[in-house]
Formats: sequence, structure tokens, C-alpha cells
Amino acid sequence: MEEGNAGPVTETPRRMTRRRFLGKAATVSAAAGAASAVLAATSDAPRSLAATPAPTTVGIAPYRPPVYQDITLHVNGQDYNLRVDTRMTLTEAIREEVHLTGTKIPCDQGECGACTVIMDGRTVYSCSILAAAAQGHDILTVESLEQQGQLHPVQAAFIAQDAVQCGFCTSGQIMSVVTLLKSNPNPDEAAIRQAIQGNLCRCGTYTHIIEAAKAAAAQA
Amino acid sequence: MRAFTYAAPTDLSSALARLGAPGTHAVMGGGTDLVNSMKSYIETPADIVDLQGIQELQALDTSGDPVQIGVGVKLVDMLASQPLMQLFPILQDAANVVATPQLRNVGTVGGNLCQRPRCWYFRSVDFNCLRKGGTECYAILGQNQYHAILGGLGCFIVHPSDLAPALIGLGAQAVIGSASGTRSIPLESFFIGPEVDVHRENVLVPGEMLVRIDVPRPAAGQRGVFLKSRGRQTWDFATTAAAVSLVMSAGTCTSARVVLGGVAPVPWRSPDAEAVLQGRSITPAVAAQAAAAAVKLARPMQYNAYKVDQVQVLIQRAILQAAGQGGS
Repeated sequence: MEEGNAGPVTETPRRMTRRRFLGKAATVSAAAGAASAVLAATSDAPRSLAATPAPTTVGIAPYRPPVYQDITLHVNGQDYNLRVDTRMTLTEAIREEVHLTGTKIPCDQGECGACTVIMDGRTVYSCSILAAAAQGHDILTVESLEQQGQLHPVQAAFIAQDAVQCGFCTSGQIMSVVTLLKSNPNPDEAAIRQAIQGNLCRCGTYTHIIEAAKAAAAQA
Repeated sequence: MRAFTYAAPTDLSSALARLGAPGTHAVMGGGTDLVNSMKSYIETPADIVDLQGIQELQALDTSGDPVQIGVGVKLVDMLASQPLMQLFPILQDAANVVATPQLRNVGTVGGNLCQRPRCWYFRSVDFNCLRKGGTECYAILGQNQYHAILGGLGCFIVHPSDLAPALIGLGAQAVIGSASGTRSIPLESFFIGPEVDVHRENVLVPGEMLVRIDVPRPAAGQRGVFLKSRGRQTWDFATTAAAVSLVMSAGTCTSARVVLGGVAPVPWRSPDAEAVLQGRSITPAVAAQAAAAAVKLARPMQYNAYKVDQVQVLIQRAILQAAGQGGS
């Protein structure tokens, strides 16, 4: 995704790799055959519909040098003065610049929730926020929860209730449950389900996560 | 992502001036769609204008007529506005089922209305589809279970917004700003289908941005309902959705709006369904007749014919609920 600092004078937005070529060729050949007549008809007609010039997403786009910006991120109560590429996401800044790797990047497109951090008291997907846009906000990561060697009650409950299998979604799930319990110390199951609806667990540990949230609420 | 410059102006006129300057700009609300669209090269702006610091875009004024909703209002704050939710429960129906808490916590009204379509061929870097400047729509002969049954012409995306059908149902106006001033148009005319321009989903041209949504105060007896169907019970875009707003007077429907989501490249208003309801007392039979009228022109493809039935059920339920006949 990131382009090199001292890259060549051209860049290809859609690099054609062998794998991509084979994947695409398979799709096209599957759709070919009887369909070719329809394809010809549909590919001609819409071109006249274009009222604006086609966006240039194909071929070799002119090189654009990276833009660096000095920013200050307020993470877990501390200010970090960073020089970042404007393209850097908040997750990348937290992991690669602040060196807190509890926040994960499984999907990097706002579809899994493992990058969940708390911004100004609300859960957000840090992969879908530019680091530059996170300036001036109060950011808490999973590393902020442990205090003086003591796990946060939600962390302890996740361990006690065995709410972890592969563990990739765990820090995001914990951040969502922590945020819920701040505003609603005694949530019912529906409220817990609502709170973690933006955190996928592909191991399917949801029932244990819900039990952990209930246990943490009971403890607090 | 292609490289870009980033600025976060604190007043609207600076933002509009920056947008009007030469070059390719993108305005950013919460950024949840824009950032991910840039990762897959769907959007390649050279300059990003972040709107989060502009107070006037976050104003939500429910005191006057029309009610004014700034495009920078976050969905979570919209839902937290008791006066707005009491005036327009249909907006609560719609905003509540948008995505997830994490996305509603940053996503804005303007971003929801201007988000790019979810068609998987459009979103994939491996398909240079018609909408991205290529020569064909891969959905026509491909996996088209989530594509349009109405209004597709060359391109068969569906408009992904849940708020749009609800707001059009309320007769909202879109206020568009540029360096040379503002203009106001009906929100339904804000969206354009592939027959007008296959490369964009709304009327905005370079230098322009959405600044505010104006919603007329509800008439006496007005009631709106938004219903959404999706593949899973949370965090999903609509397979189909129906927004119905009725004005009832002495058991008769004096005014009706029926707007569909998930079925067409634009939020799809159905004058045929509205004509069925106008001047009638609402019964299950009338609701069914209106639903049938709404899909009269539907042309499903290989895998999306289920939408024709599904959206009719939603329309009927929404009409009956809006007419105060409860049920589900």
C-alpha cells in the first residue's frame, strides 16, 4: 500500500501480479462463451453516457512524491511528536511510530474491528482514520488498561471466561466492552451484543466474550 | 494510496476556497469510506480537505423550519439529539442500522450521503469497471446478487446510503456550497443515475461540496418508517430498504412518499406507489397494491430476483406501520 520514499518516477496503482492475472483470467473465461454478444452490447452502449471524462485509474499514473507532515498524537496520556507520511493511518502510527502493537490490522478496511481504539471516549476503527486527522484527540489503546501490573477487570474476565482463541480480535473486543461498561455498568445481553457488533471474531468466541463482559460488569 | 496533501481548515470559506483551487481535492468527514477507497485507488485525490474542525458544519438546529442538519454531524450525535429523533423517528430507524458503533462514532451525515457504492467489482482493484473508467460492468454476467433491479443502465450499482431514502421521504433539501456561493436542491435530485453520468453518484462537480441538509418540519399527521433487510442482522448494507412517509388525515392518506434503498443506483423514489396511496384509506390490500406498483418496472438479473419480493414485503410493512396499523 505504501509507496517508497525514493521510488521510481512512475507508479502503477494496479500492479498486475501473476496471481492477480490468473485470478482475473479465470473470472473472465468463466463468464465468456455464450455471453460474448451481451458483453459487446453492454460495453458499447454506456460509453456514450459519460458526461465527465473517465477517471484515470488505469495505466501508469504520474509520480506523486510522498508528503510528510509533523503531527502530535496524544496516545494513552502521552504526547508523541511524529513526522508521518500523510497516508499513514492511525493504526500504523500507533504500531510503527508509537510502537504499541496491541492494536491489530487484520483487514485494514474497517470491516473487522481488531484495530478498535477509544478516541475521545468513543470506539473507532483506527485503520480508517488518517494519523494526521487524529491530532487533537485523546486516544486510548489496549495498552492503557493495565495499571501498575494489574489487569483491567475486562482483561481479567476475558482470561477467566476463556474468551480468546486465536486472539487477533481480542484487543478490539476488549476496547468495545470497556467503553460499554463506562456508559452502562450493568448491561443486559442485548446491550453487550450491540456494543460488540462492530468486532468480528472468526473463531466464533462470541458467547465467551459476552460471558466475560457480564463477569466484568458483575465485578465492577 | 497515492500521496496527497492534507489540510484541516477551521472555517467553511477556507475549505471552499481550497476546494475551488486547481487540482483534485476530496473533502473528508469521518473518512471511513474515503480512506479505504484511497487504499484501493478508487479515490486518488492530490489534496484532502478535512472538515472535522469546521464548527458550522456540525450544527444541528431543530428550532426552526426547516430543521437544519450540518453535513459534519456524526451519526452518533444525530441519534443522541432527542428533539431531532422526536420530530423524525424515521431518521432514528435509519441511522440506528447504519454499520457499527465504531463507524457511527466517526461517520457523518454528509459522508453517509456521499459514500461510494459497495459493488464488489467497483471496490476491487482487480476490476477496472465501467464506473472506474473501464468499458464494462462485470456484474451483468457476474455475481450480481447485491445489484440493481431498477434504474441500472450499463452500470448496476445500488446506492448504499440508509439515510438517503429516509431523508428523501421527508422531503429534504440538499444545500450545496462552493467558493461562489450556495444552492439548494431537493435531495432526490442530488443523486444521479448512470444514465446521467456513470462515473459519479451525485451532482457535485469539482469545487462543490454538500454543506447542509434542510428538512421541512413534519405536517400534522405525518409519520415515517424506514425498514431495512440485510444478509446478517448487523454491520451490513441493505439488500433492500424502504422508507415510507405518510400524512394521514381522518383515516385517509393525503400525502405519501415511498423511497427505496438497495434496489437502484440512486435512492429510488416511486411515484407509482405514491399514486396508489394518495387519497386512499390504508389497508393491507392497498399496501400490497402500492408495493406491486413500485416494482412494476423491475428487471432483475440472474441472482437478484429475490429483491423484487423482499422489497415489496418491506414496502407493505412500512406503509402499514406508517399508517398506524402496527404489525410487522
